[in-house]
Amino acid sequence: MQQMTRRTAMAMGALPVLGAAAAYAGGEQWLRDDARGRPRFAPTGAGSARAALQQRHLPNVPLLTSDGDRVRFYDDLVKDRKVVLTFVSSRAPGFSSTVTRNLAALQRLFGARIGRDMFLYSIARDPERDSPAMLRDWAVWSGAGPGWKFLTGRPADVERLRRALGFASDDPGQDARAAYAVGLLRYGSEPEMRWAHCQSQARARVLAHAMLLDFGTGPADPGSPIYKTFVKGAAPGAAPVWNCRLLLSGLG
Amino acid sequence: MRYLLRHRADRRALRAFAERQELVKAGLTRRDLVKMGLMTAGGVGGGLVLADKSLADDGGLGSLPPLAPFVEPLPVLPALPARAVSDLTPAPTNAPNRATNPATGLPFEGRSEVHQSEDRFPPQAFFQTRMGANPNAKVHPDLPAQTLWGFNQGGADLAADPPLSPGPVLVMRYGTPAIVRRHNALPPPAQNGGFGVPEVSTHLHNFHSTPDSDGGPCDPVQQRFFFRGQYYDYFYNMQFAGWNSTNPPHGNVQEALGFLWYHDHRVDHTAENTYKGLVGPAIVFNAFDTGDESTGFHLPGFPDFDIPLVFADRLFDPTTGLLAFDTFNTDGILGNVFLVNGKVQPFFEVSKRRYRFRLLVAGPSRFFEFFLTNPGNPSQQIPFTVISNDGNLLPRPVQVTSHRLGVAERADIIVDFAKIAQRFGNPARIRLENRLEQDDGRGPTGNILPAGRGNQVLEFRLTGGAVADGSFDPEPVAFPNVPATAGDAVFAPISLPDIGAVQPRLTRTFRFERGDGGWQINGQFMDCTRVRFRPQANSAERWIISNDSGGWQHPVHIHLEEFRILSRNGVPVTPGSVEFARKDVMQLRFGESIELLMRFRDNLGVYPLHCHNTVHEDHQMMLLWEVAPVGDTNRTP
Repeated sequence: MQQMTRRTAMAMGALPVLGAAAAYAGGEQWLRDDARGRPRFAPTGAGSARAALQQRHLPNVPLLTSDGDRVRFYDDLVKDRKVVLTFVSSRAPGFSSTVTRNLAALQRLFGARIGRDMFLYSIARDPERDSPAMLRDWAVWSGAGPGWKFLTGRPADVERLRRALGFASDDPGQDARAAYAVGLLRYGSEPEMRWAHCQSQARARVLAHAMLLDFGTGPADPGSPIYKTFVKGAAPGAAPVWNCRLLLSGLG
Repeated sequence: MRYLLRHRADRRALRAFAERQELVKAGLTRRDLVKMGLMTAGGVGGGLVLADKSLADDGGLGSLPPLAPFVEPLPVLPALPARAVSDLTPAPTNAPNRATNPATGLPFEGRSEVHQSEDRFPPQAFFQTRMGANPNAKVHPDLPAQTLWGFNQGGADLAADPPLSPGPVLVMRYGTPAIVRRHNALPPPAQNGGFGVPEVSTHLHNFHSTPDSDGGPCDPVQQRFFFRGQYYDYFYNMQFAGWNSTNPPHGNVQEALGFLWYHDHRVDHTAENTYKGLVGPAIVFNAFDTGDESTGFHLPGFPDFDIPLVFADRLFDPTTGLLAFDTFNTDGILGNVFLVNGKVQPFFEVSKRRYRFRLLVAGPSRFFEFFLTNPGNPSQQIPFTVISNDGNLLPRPVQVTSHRLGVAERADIIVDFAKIAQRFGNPARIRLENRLEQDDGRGPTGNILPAGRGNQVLEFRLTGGAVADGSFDPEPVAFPNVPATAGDAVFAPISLPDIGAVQPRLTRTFRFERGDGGWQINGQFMDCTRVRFRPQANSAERWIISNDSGGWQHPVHIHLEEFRILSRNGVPVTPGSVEFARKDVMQLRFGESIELLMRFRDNLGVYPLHCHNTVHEDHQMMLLWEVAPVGDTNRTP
């Protein structure tokens, strides 16, 4: 709770102001080495960058899946995985259905890799409005397989998640629109600290291309179009040129 | 807030803070407060901006304690050494070297196509550099040694020849075709310290390159970025635009390019990779702008008096003191620490003579408006002379007291420290100060802060020994002292070609806008798999670049060939304006519409048009187009 309070204050820019106001009023707040008067910094070791990224952007909030399972966002859904993060809302039905259509296309393209090292998530933008039962229906309509979860949670937790994941806009008018968050798509490889974003309303080919570039082609699933292109279809000894056409030739 | 906090004991600051706390308790957001005028995104003395909103908002990073300014000298970046062709192994080839490297299992070279004009212009100069991590980078004595990425001077051992950020100056000459071999020696994924991807495409920003060597973001058919363990040979034919069309065989000398830069352009990850250090300056000399002040236009001599200055604003984690980047931000990122050539607010000892400074704003999102400030007397308005725009000499030098640059824009300025000493009371120090207010990554407010209250990025110390000055004095011929005309002659031999007879084939319109989900051009997103339109080879087009938004500004960059701004919001750009020039980046401000003339000479293939606020760029404010033998007529692609 204390962390939450600090975070909220930080989000409002209050804490940095506090620090500086105090420093400039003579009440030094910064940690300094007394002898030289220089700032002191915490030592960093292996894993600290990843931990910092988790703390700032991947909060371990409790969530509920459309299957009724209770999960933690970081520990159970994101850690050690390649993930695709989206929001859906009945306030933005057109945008939401494009997102789910696109994720269904990714599921088809990547085959059994979805659920093995790649996972798709669709989080309720408006958890008060879109009930778990409704999300369950949404998952069924979308053809979500085992590697694609629809998620909801306590409104405060979901809102915290939305902000931490960067699905909020600086422009309050825009931020209030459900379509803003639904229009974004973020994907990343958590252990590699590799994160990127694109627009969820783009064509599925564009999304697939971006993810192939960032996630690579393995582990190959023999049934997937990706496998047919890269493993079975590759000429012996010839390394493929990583161009868009080749990457997507399995998409049909 | 900025002003209040300058005074340590100012009780008003604390009272204001307490009041603000009450308002926060009452449920108002920080944005509401800013809107109500009760608060501005704060900055504090010594040119240090205090709280970065964009990262503090969603990253919870907080701010670093102010760092002491002007404690380290400005690094003067070394020139990348030229090499014998035999230094490059395997030997460079016109066709890409796709043989498998047994050490990596990948092809030796990342390139996938032949160099378009190498057969006509055999390479005569060779350079080599390795991109890698430097684990011992120091940007300020009070910050810990840390890992940055950069470009080295070509050695195989990164410990002995560590990567520099910014990288060494790439110095080339017109008429001497060159190959630059860039090796990807970056660390593996998961060793990036939180951001940065080890796949790279190095764009030589503003060179008239063919697509194989342009270093673009991606291509529907060709490979653009390359992987760890691979190299990529970039070929620059070092000919002027027009070499294969209007002015064969070497092009029009009036299209000479002078100050360029190179930087990573990996699609979707350009912002983090350039932020981590993958940028560097490039200079091209020619028979008029020679680098030697005893010849040609007699501009201050390189490298002693002709100094590239690469500006960057950065965030450092207040807990660890390490460079921080927010990969979850889509609006734009502002830093509170100002680096020049890789050091925090350095000082530079100068002699009382003329210097040519090549200013480059390297992003990610901040615009700068530079002033010269005498800290002993901030009310003085100290002039300097702008001689180029985006690295191209203006027809006539323009004397100013400030100059604004958007991300990726360049300007060469002449600062005459002898005259400053003479006219402004022989000051010991003069500071280069950014006085443009900018509170978030979306663009500057347009307000100019009072002298001494901006970001004082660099301190000139006028304490250097006496040296001769054989350079040309631009003041007697500079606008506005001398009226400017269309036929100006000061730098005319290599300045502005006459475009009066150029007939645009058609007009295309591009709206840069914000939609739900992010940044768009004409309502569409970046798509690597598709070219959006096809200009006809060796034709010209009229483009309208518009920004309907009142909330965002965009530095818009076009690859291949420079454009000429014809008008802004219908007002023609006239001689005497620093925009009466060839350009490759335009500042697209609030609610503006820019009309420009763009030519598509000499080369075929795919190039991008994009916003150079790299955060916007990575968030799909980009499109691909292709110069084709037969053009299309898509007017709003």
